[in-house]
Formats: sequence, structure tokens, C-alpha cells
Amino acid sequence: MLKVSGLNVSYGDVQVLFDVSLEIRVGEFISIVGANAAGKSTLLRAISGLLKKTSGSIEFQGKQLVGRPPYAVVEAGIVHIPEGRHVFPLLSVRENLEVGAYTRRKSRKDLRRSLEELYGLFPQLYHHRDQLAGSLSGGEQQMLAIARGLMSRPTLLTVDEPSLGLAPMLVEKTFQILEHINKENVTVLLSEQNVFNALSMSDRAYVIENGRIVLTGAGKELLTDEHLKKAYLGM
Amino acid sequence: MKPLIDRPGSRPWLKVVPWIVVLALCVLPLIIRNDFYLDALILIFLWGAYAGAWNILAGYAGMMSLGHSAFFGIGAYTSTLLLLRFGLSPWIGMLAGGLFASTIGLILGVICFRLRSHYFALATLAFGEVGYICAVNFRSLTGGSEGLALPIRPDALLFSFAGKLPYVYIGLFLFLAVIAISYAIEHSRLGYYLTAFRENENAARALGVRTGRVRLIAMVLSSFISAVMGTFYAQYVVFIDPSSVMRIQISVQVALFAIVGGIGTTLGPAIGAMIFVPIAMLLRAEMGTSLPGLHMIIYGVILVLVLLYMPQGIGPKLKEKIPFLRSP
Repeated sequence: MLKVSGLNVSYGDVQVLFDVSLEIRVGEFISIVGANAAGKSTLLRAISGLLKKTSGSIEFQGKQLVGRPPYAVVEAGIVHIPEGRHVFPLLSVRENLEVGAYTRRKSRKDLRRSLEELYGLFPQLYHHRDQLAGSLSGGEQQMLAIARGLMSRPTLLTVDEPSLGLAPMLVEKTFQILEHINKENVTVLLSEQNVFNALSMSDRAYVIENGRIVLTGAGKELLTDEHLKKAYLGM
Repeated sequence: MKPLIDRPGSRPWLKVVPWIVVLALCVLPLIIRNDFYLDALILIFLWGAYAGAWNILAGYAGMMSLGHSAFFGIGAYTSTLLLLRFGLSPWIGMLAGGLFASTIGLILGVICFRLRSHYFALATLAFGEVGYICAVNFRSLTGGSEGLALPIRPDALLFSFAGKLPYVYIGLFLFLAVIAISYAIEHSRLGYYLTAFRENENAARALGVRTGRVRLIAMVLSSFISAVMGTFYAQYVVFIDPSSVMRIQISVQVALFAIVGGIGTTLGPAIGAMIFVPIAMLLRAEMGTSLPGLHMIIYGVILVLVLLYMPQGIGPKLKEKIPFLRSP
């Protein structure tokens, strides 16, 4: 489905990703784990077309995405949920969701159906639908950010650090939602610092260190890897 | 879908209030028989509508333009020149000016939308100044600094009237139209996209919003209406020159009105005009000879006070303080 090969990304003169390659098949749940500043967010942002200095190849269902603007990436079926939620605080919950449906704006009926589906999945959002997004709790904002991304009906969802700044119970809930979405035939690419949770949920995972992929394998296998245990799990 | 909970303050009779205000505005000019006050009303409508046009781009999309005098001037000069040279009715000239200004706006947007905040403001400031310099120097076309006088021969088809009353009603119509357009934008998806861009550009882009395209739509609307107001000004004042329709001060003033009234809100620009225009007129009438320019000082003081005590503007503050005004 998605094939990244030889990806190099720089911010100005500083290169942050070196020759990154990965492959995702339809329906998989993939994690990218690694420390702060390892390059996880950069990788996701590069896939979503938000970064300019990108070279290499990002192929999605046969289409080359490098150099394409973000809206083309969303139209192709990839949606990116940025780190730190970033809901639009002065828009209501429903308005936030409508912004998420930009690429599908032609059909009102379609929009209503997506809204109903997502309200079913996130009952709290329905309850608060006319409330300003800025007045929601952190957990609710994270749900809104995910729901807003789903409004474009992506086939691949890339989620950047959804557990950031959330209470453990909400982290749990967020992961459950992601698993549920994955079961509904949306491929998920998750970037996480919460290594243990991420690995135990994932079909496969990539470990990224200093901008390079250093390790890859099935999620549960990686949990037993000596290097990984030492570096990230403190065991 | 039926709402689960009634929103607080949901009182259906509040919906009537705006219509009562509109009705009052319609009747008011018939009660006022004094030309000075009618003039004030016309200028409030003119500036309110113009500030509303500025607000479409600067308020909703957050792209602070300091070059909107150029659109105003383009509107004034286009309709006036078409009238003087070809005898074309300013009603048609108004549309022509609007189309010309929005074309220029589109080009400006394509070039300058890559710039953000202060840099965009500076680029548009330069654009406004270029407009002024063109108006001064293309003498054969614009008459240069001497300006252009419009013929005075009352004819409704030529947008020219003997009394002030027709101008009041045309002004009122434009004023209400701009408020209606702003309301429609704020409550439509275009408004959501613009607000999303303003609040978090990257998040909006990540969701696939074509932020350049939606801002260009705002630019086209904003410059079109600004030019329409320019034509209205020319027809009302019957004299235009670069310093009355193209000056930088006009751009600054229109921004000031909208910011003080409440930037990014439907009624803010109108409120700003209602506060500033009467102050300027009274001060000029009372102290125009002894202390000319005093109104600029008062403007400055009001701006500082508003920014200190109600940075979102007077409109939103009123809404917050008076529960009655909170939207039904």
C-alpha cells in the first residue's frame, strides 16, 4: 500500500532522516517507535507532504507522493493526525469536523453520513458538537483530532504521538479507538514514545534512532529484543 | 438530528432583534432632516461596509492587509474614468471596478500569500503605496494630484442624486449587504476553512484544506467589495484625487475600525465605524480650525485603550458583558 524508499529529509541545512525505507500493507497496524528527536514526527510529516526538503520515494497505491502538496496526499487517501492535537479552538466541534471533510466537500449527503458515523464512534463529540473545540478536555480534543482526520475517509491514517499529555486511562482509550479504526479496514501508521503499548498493539514496528531505521520486526517479537529492552523499556 | 440539550440562552424571540434594528436604520434617515447627521450616517455606512470587506480577508483568514486603499482607489477611479471618458453609468462602472480590483487582488494574493503576518502586511503596504504613486503619476489617465471632478447632474441611472437621502439608502443597502455576506461566510464552510487556516495553518493543510485557494476566494470578495465602496465614495463626494482615495492612511483607518470594533466578527467592523466616524466628524466640526488633526490623536488614544482593556475588540466585549446580546 505504502512504500517509502531512500527517504532523506532536511530542515534547512540539517538533515534529520537518512535513507529511510519502510513498507506497509493494506490493513496493517504499524508503529514507529524511538526516542525524542529521533525523526518519528518528521517521517510522518514528510509522508503527509508538509515538508519541503524531501528526496527519495514515497509511493502510495502506485502514486508517487514526494513533492506533492498536502491536499493531494489527503485526496490520495492518507490523513495525518498531528502531534499535540491541534484542534481549531475557536470553531465548534462540528465545524472542526467539517474542515476535516474538505476533500469531500462536494457532497452534503456524504458529509452528513460521515458525521453520523463518527458521532456514533465518539458519543462525547456528539454531546459537545456545538461547543467550541478549545473548551474540550485534552482527551476529548484528541478524539476530535482523530475524528476530524477520519472525516476525509482515509485508507491510511498516520497518527503522531496520540498519547502525548494524556492521563493513562485516556491513553488506553485512545489506543482502543485506534485498534477499532484499524479493524474497520483503515491501515494505521502510529508514531509513539510509549514503546510498550505501541509494540504490543502493532502487527509490525520500525525502530528509528538518529534519523535511521535500526530495527524492524513483528511488534511482539521486538518486545523481547535485547537492544530495545535496554534502550527503551529500561529492562 | 434533534439536539440532546438546549443550548443555554436559547430564546427564539431574540431572532427578531436584528430585524428591529434593521427597521430602525431604515426609518432613521426619514426622521433626521439635518444634512450634517445624514452625512454622518452615509460615512458610517461607507466605512462600516469597507471595514467589513477588509475583515473578510484580515479577520477570517488572518491575512492583515495594509494595502486595501488600492482596491478602494481602483473602484473610485475605474467607475469615474469610465463615466468621464465613455459616459458609462457608474452603476456598471461599479461592477467593472469590482472586477478589476478583484483581478488585481487575485494577482496580489498569488504573489504574496506565501508571506505570513508582518511580512504580508508589509508587502501589501508597499502594494498600496504603488497604487498611490501610480494614481499621482499617470497624469494623462488619472489627472494626477489635481484629481478628477465628477459631473453634477442628478440622474438615478447615472448614480447621481440631488439630495443626501438616496445616498443614505444606497449606503445602508451596501452596509447591510456586507454584514449579510460576513454572516454567511462565518457560518459557511468557507468561513470554517479560513478560520482553520488562521488558527493553525499546518493542521488545516494536513487535513487537505487548500489554504491558498480558500484565501484567494476571500481576497477576491474583499477586494471586490472595497472597490464597490470606492465607487460609492466617488459618486457621493463627486471629487476624487490620489490622497482622498489611495492614501496609506485609508488602509490604516479601515484596519483600525475593524480591529477596534472586533476583528474576525460579523458586526465588529460596523461597530468600529459607528464609534470612529461620529468622533472624527464632531471633532472636525467643532475644532477643525483651532486644532486640526485632533481626531487622529483621539483615534490613537481609543486604539491604545481598546487594545489594553479589550484586545478582542469592542463588539466581542459587549457580547461578553451583556448576556442579552449572546447569540440565540
